[in-house]
Amino acid sequence: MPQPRFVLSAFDREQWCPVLQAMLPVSDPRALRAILGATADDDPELEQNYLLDDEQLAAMTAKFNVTFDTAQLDCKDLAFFLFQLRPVDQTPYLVHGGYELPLLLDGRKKLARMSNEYPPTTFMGEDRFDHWVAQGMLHREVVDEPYDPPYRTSWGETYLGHRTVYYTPKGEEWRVPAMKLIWHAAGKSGGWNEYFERLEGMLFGYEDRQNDWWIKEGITGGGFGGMSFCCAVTAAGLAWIESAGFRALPPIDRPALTIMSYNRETEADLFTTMLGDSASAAVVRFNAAGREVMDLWDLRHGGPYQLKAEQIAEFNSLLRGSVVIVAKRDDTVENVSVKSEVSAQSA
Amino acid sequence: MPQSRFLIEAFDREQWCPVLQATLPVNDSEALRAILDGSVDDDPELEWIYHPDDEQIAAIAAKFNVSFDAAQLDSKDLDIRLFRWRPIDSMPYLAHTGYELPLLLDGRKKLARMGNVYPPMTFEGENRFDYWVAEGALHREEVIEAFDAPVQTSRGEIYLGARTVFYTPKGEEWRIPASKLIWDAAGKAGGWNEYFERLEGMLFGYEDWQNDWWIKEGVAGGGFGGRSFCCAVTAAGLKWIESSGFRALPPIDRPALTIMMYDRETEAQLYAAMLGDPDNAAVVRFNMFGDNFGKFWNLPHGSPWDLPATRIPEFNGLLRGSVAVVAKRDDAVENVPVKAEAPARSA
Repeated sequence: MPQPRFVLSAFDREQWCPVLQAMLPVSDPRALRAILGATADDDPELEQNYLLDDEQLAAMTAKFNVTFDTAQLDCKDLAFFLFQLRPVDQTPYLVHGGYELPLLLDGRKKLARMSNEYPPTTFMGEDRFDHWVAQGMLHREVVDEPYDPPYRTSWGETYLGHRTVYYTPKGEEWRVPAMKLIWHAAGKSGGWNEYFERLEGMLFGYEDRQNDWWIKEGITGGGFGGMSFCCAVTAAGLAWIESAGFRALPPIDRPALTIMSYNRETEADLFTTMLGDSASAAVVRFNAAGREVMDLWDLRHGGPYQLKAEQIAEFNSLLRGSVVIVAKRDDTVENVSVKSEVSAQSA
Repeated sequence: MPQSRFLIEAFDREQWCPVLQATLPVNDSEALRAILDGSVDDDPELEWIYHPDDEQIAAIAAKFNVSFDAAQLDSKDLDIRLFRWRPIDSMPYLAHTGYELPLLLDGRKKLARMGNVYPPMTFEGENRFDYWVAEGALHREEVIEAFDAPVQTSRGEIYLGARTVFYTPKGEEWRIPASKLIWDAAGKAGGWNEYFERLEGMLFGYEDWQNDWWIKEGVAGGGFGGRSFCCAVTAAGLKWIESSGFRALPPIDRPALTIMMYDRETEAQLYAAMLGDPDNAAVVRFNMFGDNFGKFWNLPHGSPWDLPATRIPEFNGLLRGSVAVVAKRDDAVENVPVKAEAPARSA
C-alpha cells in the first residue's frame, strides 16, 4: 500500500491563501501522530486537516528534516496546517481553490463563487475579500436562497438557507449573470455535463489547455454528473462491442451481468479479479448518469450490481460516451487511466 | 394538386418589422402567377419574395378572398411583400427573426446578433436599430473579422470579411460577452450542440418552453451542428439495434448498407421506397456531424451512399445521440417527425 504523503502549509490570513508549502517525507506515520498528540486520536488514517502550533511545527521540521523558514516571509498573520497530499495538489496547473483572492486581484481569476449554508451568514475569509471590494478592486454580488422550511441535519444543526457570494475583478461583472444562466440551462438540459463544465471553467478564468485537461480527466472519472462503472466481457462480447462502435454493452447468455463501480485507486486489483474468470477476455469501463442508474440499483453500497440480461438493452440507452477497454486477458492495458482522482475544480 | 399557402405582409420600414399579415390559401397557383405577371417568369415554384403594387394587391385580395387593408395602418413607410409560407411561420411561438427591433425595445428580446459579410459595412435596417441606440434605449457593439484573403463568390461578388452587430436593451449588456464565450467554448468542445443552442436561445431571451420545443425539433432534424440520415434494416437488424439501446447500427450480411440523406419534406416517399424491399422491416434515422460523415463520403453530394459492411463499427463510433425507428413494415410509424422543417432561429 503506498505511503500517504503529507504537506506542511503556511496560510496567510491577510492575503487569504497559502504562501509556503513543503512536502513531508513520512515513512512512519506514528512519528507524526506522536507530534500531533491527542487531536489525532479519532483519525486513524490521519486524513484530517490539522492546525499546528509553533511547537508542533518545529517538531515536525526537525523530525522530518525539512526546510520551512516562515521567518523569511513578510506575513503578519500566518496559520500552519498539516494535511495529506490531495488529488487537487497533483493537477498539472494551479487549481484556484484556496487561491481565489490573490488570483482575482492579479486578474488571473475572472470569477469566484463562494457558497455556504447559513448560519453563519459569512464564509471563512469573507472580510478579506470584502476589504478589496471596499478598495474598489473587486465587484461583489450576493445571492440568498432561504430554505423553506429550515433544514435540520442529523447532528442537530439547523440551516436557514444557502448563500452564494460572487466576486469578479472590475470589468468582468458580466460573468456573474452568465454563470447563473449556465446553471439554469443545465437544469433544463437534463443535468450538468462536460459542456457546462467547460463554460464554467472559462468563466472562472481557467485557460483552454487547463479546461481540456480537466474535462478529459472528468470524463475518465465518470463524466460530469455521471458515474463510472466496469464489467468483464467475453471474447464474443468484446467483438460485439467493437461492432457497435464502442457505444453499447453486449448481450449475454447467462442470467445477469456483474457490474462494479469503477475506482481509479484500486483499478489494478479490480481488473485482476475480474479477469480471474477464464471466460472473461477483457474489462470495459463506461459512464452513465447517476440519477438514471439509481432506478436500477441502490448505489449507496458501492456494488457489485447485478444487471439482468433482459435489462442490458435499456441500460445501454442510459450510457454516456464510449465504452472503453481498460484491460485485456493478455495483460495489454489499452487505456491506462491517470491515477490522480478528479477533485472539485471550483471555486 | 395540394393547396399552397402564401403570406401577404406589410413591412413597416420605420419600426423595421411586419405589422400586418394575411394567409393566402392558393389552390390555383396559375391565378396568382397571372396577377404577379412577368416578374414570375424565372420562378416556376413561386419561391421568391414579391413586392406587389396597389393594383396587384387589390387583385390578390379579391381573387383569394382575403382582407388585407394596409391603409388602416398608421405607418408611413410600408413595404408590401408576398411570399410562400415558410416553416418559421408554423412555429408555436413568435421566432424573433424579423421582429428583433420591436422585441428589443419592448424588453422581450434580450440580445440580437445581426451578422453580414462586407461590403457593405451595414445590414439592412441598421439605421433603424442605431436610431434607438442614439436615443439611449439600446446598447450596441460591433465586431469586425476580416478574412485572411478576400472571398469571391460564384456570382463574382467579393467579400472582405464578416461583421457582427450586437444589440441589447440597456442593462443586458452582459449577454454580449456571454454569447462570445459560448461560441468560443463550442469551438473548443468539438462543435455546436443542443446545450450551446439552449444557452444561446436563453441569451436571446426565448422562454424555457420555447427553447424546449426548439431543441426537440432540432434534435429530430439532425441535431444542432449535425446532419440526419436514414437507412433500412431487416427484422434481425432491428432487434440488434434494440439490444444496443438504440445506440448503433447493426452488422449486415451483405457487402454494403445503403444510407440516405433524411429529408422531412419527402420522408413518406422515402420510407415507402425503402420498405419496398421485402427484406426490410424498418427505417431508422440517426445523426452525425457533417465533418465526421465527410470521413466516409464527400457531403452533401452523392445520396444514397453505400457504407461497406466492414466500416459499420467505425461509423457507429461517430453517431450522435440515438438511432430512432421512424417507420416499420406494418406501417406503424413510431416516431412521426413534425412536418415543419426547423428554420434558422437567430437573430
